[in-house]
Amino acid sequence: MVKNVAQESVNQKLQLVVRSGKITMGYKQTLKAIRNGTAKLVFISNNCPTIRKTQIEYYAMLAQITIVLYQGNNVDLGTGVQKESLFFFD
Amino acid sequence: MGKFLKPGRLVVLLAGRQAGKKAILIKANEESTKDAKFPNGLVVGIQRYPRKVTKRMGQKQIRKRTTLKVFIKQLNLNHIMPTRYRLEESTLKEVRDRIERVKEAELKNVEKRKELRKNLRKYLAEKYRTLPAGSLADKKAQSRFLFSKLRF
Repeated sequence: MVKNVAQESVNQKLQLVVRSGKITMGYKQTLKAIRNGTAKLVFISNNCPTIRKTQIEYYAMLAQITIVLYQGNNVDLGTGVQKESLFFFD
Repeated sequence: MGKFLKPGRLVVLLAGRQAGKKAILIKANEESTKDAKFPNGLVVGIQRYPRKVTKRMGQKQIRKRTTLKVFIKQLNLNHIMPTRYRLEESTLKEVRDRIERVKEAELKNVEKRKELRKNLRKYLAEKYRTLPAGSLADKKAQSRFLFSKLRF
């Protein structure tokens, strides 16, 4: 399932998860996590290449987990998590 | 949430000589095994797809054109693209039985592997010939996906 969520609330939730939960960042690792069954929610930035985006969405559909299409690019996602690197993450 | 790399899942290979070929996932090892230090899976795939057959062809020709060639491969899960299609229980069980009859150690043996491939090849060809007509949406005919060539 794909959700379009308001940026503010998402950022807050992101902060919370970073502090208290488990995150994996990066395309390869998210695919691994989805395959494993350990991923529960996936964030995809809006400048993610379409093929990659569709692939992640398909995997998530098979695993029946939620995807959030973040309303910002990967740099914004990085800021949301307060890290400096560029990435896609879950 | 849900593990979907279960036995019977139809997959497409993304890398290697058999890239673009469809296969049945027989076993998925999320953690690495001794000889494969990466998350790997054992697949049985179709190397040479059955050809198209028309009404005008005779039985003998049809039989020739509906043979297929099979490969058995253990590969990195990163190089597998899972699909939403699954093999039916009965077919899957047969395929797994035939593979399990050959012990793990023997799978490395070229002769044994050849025999197993022949075995599977015959079985899958028969399955293809007796496939019930129906769309992919029909649960019983999902293996139709396996036997159709992915064109790219």
